[in-house]
Amino acid sequence: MNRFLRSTLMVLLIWFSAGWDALWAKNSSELIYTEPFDLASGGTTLTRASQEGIVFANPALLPLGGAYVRWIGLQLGVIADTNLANSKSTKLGEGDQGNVANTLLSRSLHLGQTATLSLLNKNFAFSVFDRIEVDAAGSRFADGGLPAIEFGVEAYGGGLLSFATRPTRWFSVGMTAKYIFVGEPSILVPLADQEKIKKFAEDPQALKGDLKYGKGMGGDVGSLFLWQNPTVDLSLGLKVEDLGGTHIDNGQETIPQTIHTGLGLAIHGSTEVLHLSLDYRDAANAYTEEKTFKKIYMGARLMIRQRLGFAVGLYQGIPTVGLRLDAFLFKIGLTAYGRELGQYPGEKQRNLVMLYTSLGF
Amino acid sequence: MHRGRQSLCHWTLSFAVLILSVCSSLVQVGCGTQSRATSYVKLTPLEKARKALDEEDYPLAIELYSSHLADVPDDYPVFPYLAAAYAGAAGFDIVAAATANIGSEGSTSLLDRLNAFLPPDPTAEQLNSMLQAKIVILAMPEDHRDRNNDEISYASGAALQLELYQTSYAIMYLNQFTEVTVDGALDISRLQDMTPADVEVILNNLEEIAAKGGTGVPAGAGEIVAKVDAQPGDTRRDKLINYLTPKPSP
Repeated sequence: MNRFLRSTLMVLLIWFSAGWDALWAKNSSELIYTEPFDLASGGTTLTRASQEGIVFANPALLPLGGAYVRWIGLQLGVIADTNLANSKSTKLGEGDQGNVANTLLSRSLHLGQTATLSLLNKNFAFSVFDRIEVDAAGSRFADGGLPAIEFGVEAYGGGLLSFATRPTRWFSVGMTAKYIFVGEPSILVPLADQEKIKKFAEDPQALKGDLKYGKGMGGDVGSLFLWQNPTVDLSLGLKVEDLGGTHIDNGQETIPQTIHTGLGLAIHGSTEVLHLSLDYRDAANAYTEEKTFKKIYMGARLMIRQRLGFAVGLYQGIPTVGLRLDAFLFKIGLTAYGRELGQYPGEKQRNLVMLYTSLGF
Repeated sequence: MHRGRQSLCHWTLSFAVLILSVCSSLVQVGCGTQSRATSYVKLTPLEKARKALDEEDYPLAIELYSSHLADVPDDYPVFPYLAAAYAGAAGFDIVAAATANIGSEGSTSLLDRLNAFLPPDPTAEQLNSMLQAKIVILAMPEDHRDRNNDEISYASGAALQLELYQTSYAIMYLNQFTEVTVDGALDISRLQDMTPADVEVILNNLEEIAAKGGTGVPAGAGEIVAKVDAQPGDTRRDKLINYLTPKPSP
């Protein structure tokens, strides 16, 4: 336990020692926040999303709920990689010496947490959120051809305000204004370069050149086309994320405008719903480096008596699965999913597990 | 009271780990964690090369990186990867060398420290691969392999690569003429086959690294050269042989 804490603290200390005062630009078309049960459904969000995640998913989904007040509550989640979970131990180091560097060269360490506090009704929603994920992994041949440990952080936070309307039965539209903090810094610590390590250890301020964060205001516009009959719904979701680009201060790159499209098919009875969905993100290829597989999300979610949810999917091609129990004021769920942090499948795949709970109504 | 709280904390943590374990087992048994995108994603030649390098398929990595540099000769960020592939093909274990902190100054000489990560009896192909590793780094513009250049992310690493590869080349070259017996002692009989030209290759490479100055590998190389120069003998060959000949214990 102590070793685990020391290792985690080491990661965080390296990070905090730089002062947090510079960051990073978003470098992927992944959403800044995806609700955990939506993650279990392959990360599909454009045609159906859990209440806690609607403002991040597609604001046009707001008017689809039956109740006037859809959700007021808090959701908290913790994320760990399956390597850590499967070790059935909180020890990171292996062997007597507990050599963290050697361990990270053989497997990654990924930890994170999320929190949202939201208020939603049929036409209006407000949410504040934060999400931070820390990733540490070794590479035999990092930048410069030498082994290094790469410490990466994805940190987002802010507030979102959404409005939506459903002028006809078959169409709804919504928009979101957001004020966000965003950063994805990455620090490469070469194992062989003792002079560089010494330089960082003696002068953490030297890291500041690599660590920059910023904040900015932006907006999303979403729409949903819906065809419904008593047992089958067909839906088409369209969303423009970061309309016109979200400008981030502190000299960071602007988050580019991205266009997402999604298709949904729901088969429902009186209390059960099976929803199949397929999202294609960044259709206009704003993130030019991203391959097509990273834009495709597909999944299925089954809600039984509106209380028990089961979801499976493919998130960027990586299998996902999740369970959620809704006990009115209290929800709890588990999601196992994977993300590809690299450019091609398997380059930097992280297999993750998320445990989350919601309190609200 | 404190112990009770500690026990509760430990129990809670163990319970959380157990739940996460059950869930991750569920997904692994149910559908695995292997990306289903692997079969239909086309990799670029550079991505294929990187994958080959990570999988330690050095011949393929060398082929792909070399082919890329033939088309884009000034793509300098790629040079360190090609050099790393050559060094890997030469039998140099970069991870073992790096985690053993090879550049640090210690009680053992750089010769002994590096020898632990080099083939003891290198083949001609291995020696040539290490030479190629050195040549690839030297083909980069000087400011792209400058330890003090913070503007280029790979410059410092490339400088260190050159130090390691050039020193390793000198030591591997020397290893052609040395043999360690089964009881760990140096068999010096083959040293007599060393020509003056061979000695120049070994010492010139070490001197070039020592001339860069600084701690770590250059300091270690400088120490070897200084000790060789301090040996008795009329020629550099004699001095090197004297340096390598084990001294009787007092």
